[in-house]
Amino acid sequence: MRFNSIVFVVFLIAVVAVLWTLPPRARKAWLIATSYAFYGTWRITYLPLLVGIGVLAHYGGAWVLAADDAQRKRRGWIVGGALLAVLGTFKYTAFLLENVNAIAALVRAGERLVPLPRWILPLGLSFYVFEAVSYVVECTRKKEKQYSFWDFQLFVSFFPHLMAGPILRAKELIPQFAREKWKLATEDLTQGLWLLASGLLVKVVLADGMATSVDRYYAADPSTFGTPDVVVMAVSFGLQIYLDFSAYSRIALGAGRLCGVKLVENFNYPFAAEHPADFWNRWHMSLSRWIRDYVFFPLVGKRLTVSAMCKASLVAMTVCGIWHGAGWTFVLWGFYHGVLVAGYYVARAVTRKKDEKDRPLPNWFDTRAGTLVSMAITWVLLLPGWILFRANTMKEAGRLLATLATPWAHRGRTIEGRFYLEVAVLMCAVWVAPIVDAQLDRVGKSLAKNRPTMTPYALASIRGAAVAVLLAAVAIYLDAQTSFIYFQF
Amino acid sequence: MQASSEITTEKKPHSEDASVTAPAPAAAKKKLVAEAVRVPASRVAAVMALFALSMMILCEVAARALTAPPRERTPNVMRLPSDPLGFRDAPVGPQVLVMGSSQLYMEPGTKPGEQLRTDASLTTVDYIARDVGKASYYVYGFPRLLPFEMIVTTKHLLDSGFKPTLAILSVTWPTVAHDHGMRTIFSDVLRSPGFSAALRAELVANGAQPETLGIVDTETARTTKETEREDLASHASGVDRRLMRFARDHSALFGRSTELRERIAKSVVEPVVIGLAKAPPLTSDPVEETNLLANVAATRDLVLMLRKHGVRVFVYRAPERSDLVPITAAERRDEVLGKLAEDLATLDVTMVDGGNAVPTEYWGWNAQYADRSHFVSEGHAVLARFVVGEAKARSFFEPLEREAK
Repeated sequence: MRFNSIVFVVFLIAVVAVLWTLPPRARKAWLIATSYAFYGTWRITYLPLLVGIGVLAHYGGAWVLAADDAQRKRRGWIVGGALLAVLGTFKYTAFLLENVNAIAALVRAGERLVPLPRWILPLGLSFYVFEAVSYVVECTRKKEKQYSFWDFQLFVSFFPHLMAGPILRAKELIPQFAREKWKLATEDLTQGLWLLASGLLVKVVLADGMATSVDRYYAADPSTFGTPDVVVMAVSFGLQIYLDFSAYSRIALGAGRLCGVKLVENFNYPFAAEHPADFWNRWHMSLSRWIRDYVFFPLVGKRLTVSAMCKASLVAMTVCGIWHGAGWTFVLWGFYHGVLVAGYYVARAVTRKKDEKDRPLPNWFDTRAGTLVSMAITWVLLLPGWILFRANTMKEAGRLLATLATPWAHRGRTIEGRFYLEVAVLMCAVWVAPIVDAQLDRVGKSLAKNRPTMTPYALASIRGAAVAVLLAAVAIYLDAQTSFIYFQF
Repeated sequence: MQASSEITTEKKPHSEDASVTAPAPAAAKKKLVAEAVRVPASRVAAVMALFALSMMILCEVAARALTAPPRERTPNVMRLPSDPLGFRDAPVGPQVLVMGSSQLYMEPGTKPGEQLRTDASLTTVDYIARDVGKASYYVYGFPRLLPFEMIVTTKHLLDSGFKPTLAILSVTWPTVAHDHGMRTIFSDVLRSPGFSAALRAELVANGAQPETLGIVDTETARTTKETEREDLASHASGVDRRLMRFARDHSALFGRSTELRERIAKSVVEPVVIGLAKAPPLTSDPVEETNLLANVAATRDLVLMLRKHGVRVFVYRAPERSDLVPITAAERRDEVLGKLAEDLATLDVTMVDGGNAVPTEYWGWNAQYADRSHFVSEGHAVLARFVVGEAKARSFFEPLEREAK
């Protein structure tokens, strides 16, 4: 069941309406049942996998917690490894075998040495396995506790974050289901509806609006494009994936709020990032946090040297790339981001003077002009990454990147000027968004401070009307069945 | 940093003063805030729902008012829904299938500033139906409709029980020369169980061109992968399609969405993207050789499919505006389409060149721009006379007349 469908809206209304009419003791059971139903509508045969991961992580976590200090780490590796093995089997077997076959073909050992598996990647597997692994690692670190079996199943299967995150920690979600705290506040309702409607609008109008052109250009022969075309293709895909995934995250957050639960944010205006490491603090934040806590920090250890940070960045970001998809373009994309982050650490070490307490001193990059220059440089550095991420094959990526790197040899352009303008307008809108958001926030706070007479009813009526306008726009633009880009990961 | 500290030092004494001189309103405010916090969520939900519902009704009313109701049509002309999966009851009696781009149903403004209408008053098909009124005319028009999209739609129509005696197809040069791919509304048809395999088998049996089979395979592989990944053929997706159909039938927001989107694009998007940047609406649609060859092959295979079903086929090149510089180079046009016409003639199919059939004065305006693709009702009448004349000269309407008797 896709979030951008009428059937999901009907499902959500039914879930939320029944949830808040049920007695508190029955609510968890209702959410577990509806979450399983939600997953089952995709493919009932994979439902046992979701349940199995939940059961394995729950009992595995208990086994880890029960161990003494000497045994805990070993047990953590066993359980975490088992969970990752499930992910690896479904996600990477075909990729590995394809490579074996490719090598075999190269050495003339046969076209298809090994037959490829016929299974498909279970929807959301990468997300819920990472959540389960996170729980086991936290148990190993003694930062998690044992939860009740059903609480834990609800954590793994809770439908708003099931298909494409955000990737949560058990301790962030499960305590919110505690009976005495779990209520639908006015703010949950209004914010939830707002997030839901605005997320749908962004997906249906903006992301899907861009998708047709972006798909068309990436399906065309790469040799027909000039350097300006490749730049606009990179920018447009960056925008499309941002709009698509941030819209998904908004809907997930909105659905969560309507169930009285706050999920973690996934985006914080990534195109306003001042350096590559900052980009990853703003883009798919729940995944970045996972990679940072469970890959980057353990690799860096206590040695906060530039060399250790660079090596850890390269490995962590390559893991991030592999997580995104079983393909060489994703591996390379991850590695490229690793190079960018490592490059940033080196540049920082070279350009930043430090005070006597080894704290970095401010320099020109901290001024307004410096910040804008940093943002622009970061944005430009991201462009080859978008090409790697979106290209269908390594060959295609190579040709597009070659065109990008040789503007003097590819001056012409094929893509119509109108698309350039659309992308430019949308990009400007995305850049201006944080400023508008800050202003709106200021107005909201000022209203709340200066006009406390504005009752919740007046606010609710304004918000209700606004949500209706957004939903009306969604109705106009909701056309065919389209999916979210991150569903494939 | 400095600015904010200045504000703080200025404001603080003032707010302190206010609290000293007017304690009562401040207390009242605090009380109101405290009361506001205590309001139960259920009541807020009720108020929100009430306003949301009222606003939705208002939007629905506005949508109905903004989009003109369907105009009176010639009684024997039926417009098929844009979603091929929305085709329902198969008709009985003599039928003519007319397929082409948005030229079949759109009407531009008569002067600068007027909007393009998605529901033209009297179209080419209406005029043809008036002239040769012995059959029911089923019109399928879609913006920049590609030959392969026509193949999918035709196959689905034939499978649904349509049995046209005559098919009139319009070939639009800039689309054939430049576009490729398949829009979701058509690839959704490929998701129907067994459809892709049946389509491929029929095309192979007809001796279809490798380019067409290549598109079938690519699109089938893509949609199958997507369908499997998200189970778009699942029960939930089926329910969603039914809900969508219901919404389209009962709400102008859903049902007249194409026209509403067009209006939004013209009144909101165009002024921002084009007006502010002072850019022309369209620069060029260059000939894409690979796409051109694939589209020509698909046109031939579409015609072949119809012929194998016993349908007579009449093809015309859609008129183009002659007073503007073409956005798609015309050099290859005559060569490619001439060759296609020769090829189709071997299948007993007539292809005529209607490129200049509509005189300049009948082309109109789309907002502030001269419309390149659509003409006003008088232009449709002229084109209809051209098509009927050419078709009658080759006895294309005779089987219809025989069937009607």
